[in-house]
Amino acid sequence: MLMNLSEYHRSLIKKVKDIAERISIRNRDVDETSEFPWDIFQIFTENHILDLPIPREFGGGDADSFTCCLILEEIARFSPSSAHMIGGHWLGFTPLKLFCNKSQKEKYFPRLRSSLSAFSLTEPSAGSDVGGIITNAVRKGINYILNGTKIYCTQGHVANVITVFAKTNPEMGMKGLSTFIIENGFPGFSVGKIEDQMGMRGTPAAELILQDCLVPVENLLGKEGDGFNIAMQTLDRTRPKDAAISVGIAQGTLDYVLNYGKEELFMAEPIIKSQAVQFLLADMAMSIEAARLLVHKAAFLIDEERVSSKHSAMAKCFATDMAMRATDHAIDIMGAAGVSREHPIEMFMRDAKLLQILEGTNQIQRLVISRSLLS
Amino acid sequence: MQSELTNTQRDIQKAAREFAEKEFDLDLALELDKEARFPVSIFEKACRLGFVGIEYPEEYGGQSFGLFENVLVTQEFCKRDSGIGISISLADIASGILFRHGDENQKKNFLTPVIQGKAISTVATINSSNGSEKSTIPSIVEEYPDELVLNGETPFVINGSIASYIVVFCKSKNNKLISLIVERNQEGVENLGLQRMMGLRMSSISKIRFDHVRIRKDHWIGEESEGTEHLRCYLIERRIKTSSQALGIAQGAFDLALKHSKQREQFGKKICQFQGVQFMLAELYTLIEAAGALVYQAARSYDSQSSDMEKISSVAKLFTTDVAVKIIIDSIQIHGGVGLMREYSIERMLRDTKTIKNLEETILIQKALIAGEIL
Repeated sequence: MLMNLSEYHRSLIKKVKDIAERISIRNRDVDETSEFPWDIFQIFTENHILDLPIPREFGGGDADSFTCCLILEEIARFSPSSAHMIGGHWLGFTPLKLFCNKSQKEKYFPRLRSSLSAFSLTEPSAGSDVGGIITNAVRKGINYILNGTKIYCTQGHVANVITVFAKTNPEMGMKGLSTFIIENGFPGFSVGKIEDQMGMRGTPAAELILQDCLVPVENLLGKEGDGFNIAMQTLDRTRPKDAAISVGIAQGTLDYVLNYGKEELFMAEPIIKSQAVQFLLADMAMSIEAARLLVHKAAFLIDEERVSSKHSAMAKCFATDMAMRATDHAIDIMGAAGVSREHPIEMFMRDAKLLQILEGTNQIQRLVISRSLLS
Repeated sequence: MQSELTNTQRDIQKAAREFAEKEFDLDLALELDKEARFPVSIFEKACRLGFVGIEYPEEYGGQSFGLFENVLVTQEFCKRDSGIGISISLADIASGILFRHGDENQKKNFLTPVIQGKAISTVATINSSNGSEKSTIPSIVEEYPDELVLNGETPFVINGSIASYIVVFCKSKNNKLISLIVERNQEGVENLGLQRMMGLRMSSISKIRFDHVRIRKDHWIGEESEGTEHLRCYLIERRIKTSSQALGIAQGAFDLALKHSKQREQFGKKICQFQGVQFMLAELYTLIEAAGALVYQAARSYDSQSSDMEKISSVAKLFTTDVAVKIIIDSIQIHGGVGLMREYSIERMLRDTKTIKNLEETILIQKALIAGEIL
């Protein structure tokens, strides 16, 4: 495991930090309007952040999971919702990276350097339970015809390419699940409701409506029936990224409170002189460090081709719970300023809450962990 | 929490519950939260039916009950809707000061109109959310036998944009704390605008400036030396009322989570059939019972003016607001994705509770007060 960052990582982090600080001035506006920040997307594209995990042969940055986690943490320190945009894109790209055949790669990888992808698994009846998916795909000649409604697809309304899970064989349960590469321009594809959500408001979740949606046979990812495996392989690799965003949120919160606490007073002394506050800050710093190491370990295992569902779930669950606690305590330290929208921490707390739920609720993560302990 | 109530108290509780269920429109609440508007007509109706100012004597328009009955009403109101419930509970925020320390004319002219729903009051006090001495308190700049001239600024004034009068705590020329009634339309009273907060958006938190405001003798409350005592009593009352709001909201969130867990099916079962969810519910229920017992005890201490009311009010606020936030965070968790969406009131419950927890005295202050009492 990397305990010392390489020169490459250090310079990349510095570059990303500059960008993240610059885009963070848009945080409040994006939070208020919940409009997708295309300007920030543009900055990420131009600076080759969006394309980091895309293989070099297709013009990408060829970054491993560890590097991606470092980047997400750094962006989230300043702008969690912007980190979530990148995370959402990489989530959509991960199944493609793992399972695309040569011609699919050639068709989609270059374009995903500068356009968004998304991942669409959830349905009204299928949240934690992927087996509850109703959306079906029926093969007809050179196409599959998809029908159904997907929900809570992060940035599904602005993504160009979406990996969609549907049942090709409803009787087979999980084994009847398949994955399709769907472009937003395919006939029968439309965006339904865009959610007005609590946090991560720059990257809202969208409802996707598939009504006799025509998907060419060559856009099947893997084979029919591979869907469940594709979903799980993907989530094992992306959960550390949500964890990294959480670490960034908590670190950004700690940085902010430390700075704030030098100026503001508690019982006639600077807040940070109060032992009660010092202890809270110490707890925050400890748990951030622990979460970060867990993220790095999970990412390291992925990069070593020793993917561990358990470690990915532990990182996600621990780090997201930790970020929730850190932001919660930070507000309590700051008092009225903490709940004022003139400071970013109340927004960070709302952003953190989403991460405890998406990509598998933390209850599901605990299930994954305990199963692996008992198996 | 039920067994100890008298029949009359049960009737009050039931009437408040029925009123809230009938009158608090949840779509309207969503809109009021978004647009930062006060629920005027619901407030007026609640006043007509005697819910507001229930603890004040009939001669002033009240029902001659105690703070305990106010707590029952507030709890029911906030259980149904956090925003409407809190904003109605806060509309008469200055009433206690006037009732305890005002003269007959002041009670008639300022207390009664609020109980009748014809006015809304507010209090401008030291921004003591963290006992910060840096924050300014308005002060008397000129003193005459019949008139005082007030200067200064107070941030985070609840009802700042809608109150018709403000009870201002300010410093006299002798550096003593005094309380005065300032009418909103007086020359020199300026609303510096809405302060955007995480929650509590129906109560128009604003910054108010006093620029050479002339205050006649009939608007002075009590004697110059009494201000500190006025503030002490006010804060005790505020802590208990804030606790009852937090208790009600926590119950509301828990009720929604319980209901959801009995309806939502995943993996072929209601999610309440999973032990992981059951134990969460059991823990939250336990916290609500404990918080309820504390809040009721605090209200009874206040009504009997027992010697421990100051301490118990801090204990109640510390515990109740803290566990309420936890209860709501976990209730959102039980909901999964739907709990994050603004159209569903539970995310607003978190924003509102986090705000009442921190807007006035923080939990750090409460801990310092409790430590001082027990040492």
